[in-house]
Amino acid sequence: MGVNEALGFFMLLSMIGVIFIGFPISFTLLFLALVFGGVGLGWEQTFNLAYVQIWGTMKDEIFPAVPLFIFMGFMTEQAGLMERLFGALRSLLAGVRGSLYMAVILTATIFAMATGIVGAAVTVLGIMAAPMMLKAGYDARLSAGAIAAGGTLGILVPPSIMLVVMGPVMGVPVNLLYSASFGPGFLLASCYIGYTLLRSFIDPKLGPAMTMEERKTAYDQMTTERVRVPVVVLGLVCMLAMAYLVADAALSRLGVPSLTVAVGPLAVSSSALVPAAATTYPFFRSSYFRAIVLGIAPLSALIAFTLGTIIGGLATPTEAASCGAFGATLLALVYGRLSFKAVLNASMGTMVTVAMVLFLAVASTVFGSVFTKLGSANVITETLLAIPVGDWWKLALIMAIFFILGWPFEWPVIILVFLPIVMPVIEKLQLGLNRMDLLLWVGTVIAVNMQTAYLSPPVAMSAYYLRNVVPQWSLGTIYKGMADYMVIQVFVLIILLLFPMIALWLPQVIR
Amino acid sequence: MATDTRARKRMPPRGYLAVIRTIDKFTVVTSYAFVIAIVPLVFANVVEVFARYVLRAPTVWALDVTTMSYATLFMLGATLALLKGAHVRTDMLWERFSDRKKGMIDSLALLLFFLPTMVVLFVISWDDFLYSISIDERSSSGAWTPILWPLRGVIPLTAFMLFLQGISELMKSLWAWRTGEFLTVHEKIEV
Repeated sequence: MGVNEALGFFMLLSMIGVIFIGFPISFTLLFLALVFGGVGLGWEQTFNLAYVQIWGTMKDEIFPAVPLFIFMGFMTEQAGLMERLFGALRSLLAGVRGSLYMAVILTATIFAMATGIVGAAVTVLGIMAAPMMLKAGYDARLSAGAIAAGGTLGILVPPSIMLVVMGPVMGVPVNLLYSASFGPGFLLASCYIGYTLLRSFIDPKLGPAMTMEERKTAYDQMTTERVRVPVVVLGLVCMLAMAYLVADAALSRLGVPSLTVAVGPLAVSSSALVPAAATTYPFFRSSYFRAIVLGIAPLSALIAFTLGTIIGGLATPTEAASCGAFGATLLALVYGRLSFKAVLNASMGTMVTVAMVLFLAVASTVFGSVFTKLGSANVITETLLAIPVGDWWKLALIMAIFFILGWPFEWPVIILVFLPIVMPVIEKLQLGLNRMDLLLWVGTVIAVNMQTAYLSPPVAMSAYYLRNVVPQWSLGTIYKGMADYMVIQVFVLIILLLFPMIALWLPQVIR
Repeated sequence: MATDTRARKRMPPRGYLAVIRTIDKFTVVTSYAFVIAIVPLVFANVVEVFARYVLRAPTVWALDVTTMSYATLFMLGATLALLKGAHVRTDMLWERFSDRKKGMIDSLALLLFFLPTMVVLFVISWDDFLYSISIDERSSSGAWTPILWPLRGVIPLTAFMLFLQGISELMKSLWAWRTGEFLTVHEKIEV
């Protein structure tokens, strides 16, 4: 090991030391990279390297999706769609034991597909669902855990901004990474639901079904709400459009010859109109019509359109994200929640969040390039590759390290600073998968791992947010609830490590 | 911005406070101007998608507009993020420090790390900015080829704005170091 490699390790150690004390990480990284690079590589070269890296991040073609997805999430939240969704699911599921757990987790899962960050999900769910859960006599520990765990799905399920940032780091297309994360995301959501329902069925006291009285109140509330015409029209159009596309897909699979109409790149058969209308018709007479049309259809259509075009490869993430952000703004407009203040709040929130994530991205690319130029990255790669264990265990070891790093650090640090260091090792793993499949699978495992970090007690922000909006729950109860769900997380993580197909089936279907 | 003015607190001299307030105000006002970048960011691609799939005539400017507005948004947003205390820290030990100790760490880090880094960043990007103007540099990512110096100028501008806000933050944390009381309350955001 030469002088420069040693210098690189000294840089890495001082970085870890300094950021542990608590100074903002992005500035620490920039400073250390400039100083150590200057000493080891010469000042002129380091400054050029830094400038080129900053310029490169500014010209990146995928990162613009990050602010757009954040903005989309903020606008969806401003439109009050989460409340509607939760209200609808709550009355649809009323009769089931533990129905509120299920409503919370389903709301969180659907909402996660409209936003790229964890952000407000925990707070909004806390304000909305926690009082009902308290009133219905739900178990505090299980409820707190459900809200916290459900809220974290936002960072895992598409359009997660973590996956947008991870794509370029791992060298995989973001749309494939998105399709790969559906499997684990839904598996997790169903594990949460399964767990809460199981607990409620064994001991009904933990999550009683809604009483008839409550159902009546909820029903009255829903049916007497005055709704403006545009909202109804929008809901109907969205529902019909979705039923139409589903019917069209089904018909084309059956090979029904039909007149085709080209809507953009989609060829849609007009004969699907009949089955589409037939599937939606029964709802017109049902009492759940309102719940579905007003609460679920518009948001689902927005999600289906945004994610569908990315995963189908029809639009780049940035284009789909723009349309999603625009669509969310339109929804807010139709629901009468669009004001100058709402847009301004969403924009300012977007700017602060995106600056935090991407400025760190800038700083860590500068840091990473200096680290690589010093030659230290190679030493780590060779050391890790020389460990005499099987390749699967190497991967498990890396995941264990990331799991531990997830306690003190947040995902931007791990993805942007630590992941590039072990990337060469990951690429050389021989696990019987081709390169792309391997990277996609490892990417989703890392994503689940990072999502778990949101539930790890010492610095889990979700706990503080929940505590702020639900004073009746003590921090201890919330932590205990989160720890229960962490067990589920670790379980899913291991399942995912053993069965790569959970992540890979959707990307393979698409390709 | 969120300067707490409860009466029982010891307040710094008027001039000291005035400098902090002026800088913070400047940051907030300029941020209101920069946040407008989100409008072209959203619309450029909506128009592009519409033009490509419906009119079958893609635009030549969407990619450049996207790059420029996105880069402006996140680089210059870093200043507001600094004011709001949004840049990610490791909380494990930080949460347990007293306010005085937090003030000490921030003061030292701002003085030794932050401000010099911003000066360096400004110096290395300023030359490229001037050079870009002098050769009338054009973007090469499409047929539109707009001028590139405004985008080059974002880097020194960011460095300058961050330096300025850094001075305000330094004054705040020096005060916290001396008295053990923070003048502003930082909210942590979650991503």
